[in-house]
Amino acid sequence: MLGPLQIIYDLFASPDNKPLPRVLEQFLRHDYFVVFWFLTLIAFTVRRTWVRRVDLVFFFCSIFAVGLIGIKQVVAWPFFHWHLWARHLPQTFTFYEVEVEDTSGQLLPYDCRACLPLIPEILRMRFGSRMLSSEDGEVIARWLLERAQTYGPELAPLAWAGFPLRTPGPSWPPNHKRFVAVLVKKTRVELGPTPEDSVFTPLMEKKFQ
Amino acid sequence: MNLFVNYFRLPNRSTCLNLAVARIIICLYLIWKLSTFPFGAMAEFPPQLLVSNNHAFLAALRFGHPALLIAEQSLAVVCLFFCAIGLWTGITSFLAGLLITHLAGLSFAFNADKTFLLPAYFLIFYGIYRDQDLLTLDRFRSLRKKSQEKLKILLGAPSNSAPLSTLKWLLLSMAAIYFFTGYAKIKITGWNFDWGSADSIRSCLLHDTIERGVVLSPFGRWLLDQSAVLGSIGATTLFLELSFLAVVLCRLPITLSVLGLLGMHVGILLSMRTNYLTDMGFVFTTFVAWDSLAVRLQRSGKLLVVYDAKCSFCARVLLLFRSADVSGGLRFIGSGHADAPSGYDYTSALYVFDAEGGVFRGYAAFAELFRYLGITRPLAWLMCLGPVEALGSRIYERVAKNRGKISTCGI
Repeated sequence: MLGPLQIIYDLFASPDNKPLPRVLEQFLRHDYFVVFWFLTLIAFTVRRTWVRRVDLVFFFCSIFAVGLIGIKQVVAWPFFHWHLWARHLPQTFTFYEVEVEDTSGQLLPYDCRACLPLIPEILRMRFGSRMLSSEDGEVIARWLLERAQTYGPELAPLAWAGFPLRTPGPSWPPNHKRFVAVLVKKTRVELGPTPEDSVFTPLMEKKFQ
Repeated sequence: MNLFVNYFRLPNRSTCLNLAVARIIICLYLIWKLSTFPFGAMAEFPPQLLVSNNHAFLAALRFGHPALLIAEQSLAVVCLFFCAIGLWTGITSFLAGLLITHLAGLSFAFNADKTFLLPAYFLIFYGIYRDQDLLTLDRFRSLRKKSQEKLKILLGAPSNSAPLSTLKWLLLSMAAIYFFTGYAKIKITGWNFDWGSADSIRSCLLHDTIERGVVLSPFGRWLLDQSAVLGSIGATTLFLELSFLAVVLCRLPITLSVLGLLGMHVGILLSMRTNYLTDMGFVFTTFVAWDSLAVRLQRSGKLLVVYDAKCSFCARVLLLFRSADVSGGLRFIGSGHADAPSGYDYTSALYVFDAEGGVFRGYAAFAELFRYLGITRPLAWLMCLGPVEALGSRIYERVAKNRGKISTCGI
């Protein structure tokens, strides 16, 4: 049953580690969005059936190509729906935690409402990873700390109520104190049948002040 | 009755009501979501936080200039408001779609969990096929060019079939996205169905909890021990996602598939506390058979509507009601028609006569029309509230007296 799907994929897709053909990559990077909206504008203004059909064909070719080939290095924006894409979920993986330290030395998980609209896993996975592995770590940590101090006391409940596609992660208590440092932890986990049965191994920890 | 319409199976409906309702739902949803989404805050993010910065259009996002993004966001909201009321739908749907996909690019660059893309696709399809929506202020304005005779013929003509291409192509887009979600799941596990196994679904639950640093919901915790339930959930998810496109293209009824997919989102919300339901749910409401619902809600019996035959303004207003009349129970006749009951001054106001001998004049006649159409019954109820009725009656009388100045009128 899966044969035809695999054949289609193999026909159109290059392996994830292989770059796209240069011409195609340049087109997707620089021109695709403009070309797409230019064609759409024509279909909006020239009220002829064949023009509409051409635009629709272009639209559905794009959506099907993106779907068949999958996530590549360059995305044909506006055709990408990451919230519906599958994730590779191994039994052993590493994850990051971002915490803030207040003046009394208490550590609290970073409340993502301080940097809306980022969601907890993006904050932890992407930023935590970058803070530990790249030279931008100081810049990111400083920004997170500044954001925590500026936005912490006045987290907008209205904006949060209107926004969430996901429910918030851990949040600061309303009477939290001023923050002085950001702590990033990297941990490896071997999944068990429940969170309690999983084995957590600390790998790295770094404090930014 | 099928709750949801497969527009590949039934591309034509008796009226364009479903399209008009879909337009209003999507525009109001986008106004709500866009106006509460902190695009301006993202402009303050340092470029080092970018996940993806390889698109030229991101260069126009003006880092460090939140005011520009807020202006773009505000313009999109204004466009959506006009699109919702059906005014200048061509330019407003185009601009709203362009601005939303551009703003969503910023969200994409930071990998924030929001795309706005499916509603934006609706705006694109709607704009291309906007002439199929007859329940707009644009239509009302365009009818100014029609002669009295032509308007009279339009009011008296039987219902034609209304093609709803916007909803047809939106349905295909949605089905394709679900299909490729399932496709990605079998691709990522090496072209097999392992993603749907109990162990895989258990991993999903645990990954999500650990990566987000939140406590698993009671339902999610209960699921961890239920291997058979987890396996069924995985298999059903793959089946629903992969089969929806086939169901749509094979012109089969989609109600079961849609309810299944909505159930899947409810399950995700309850177990992982991840809410896709709001967004996908709103898009799915555009495929509800609003016209069938209207027929069920519509009052039995017919209404006779008598208007001033010399007033084109009146005829143009009534044509909007004519376009929303799903069952064809409204009969519109001019004041000079032989069937018009005598003894009423039709030049002063609109009259509605029901089968039980009830007579409604002016403002009350409009309230009766809204009540009759069924789906607009809440509006009729609102119109009959004391203060609203008092104000509405005064506005009606004023408009009726000055309709010659408002529009080309024979009086």
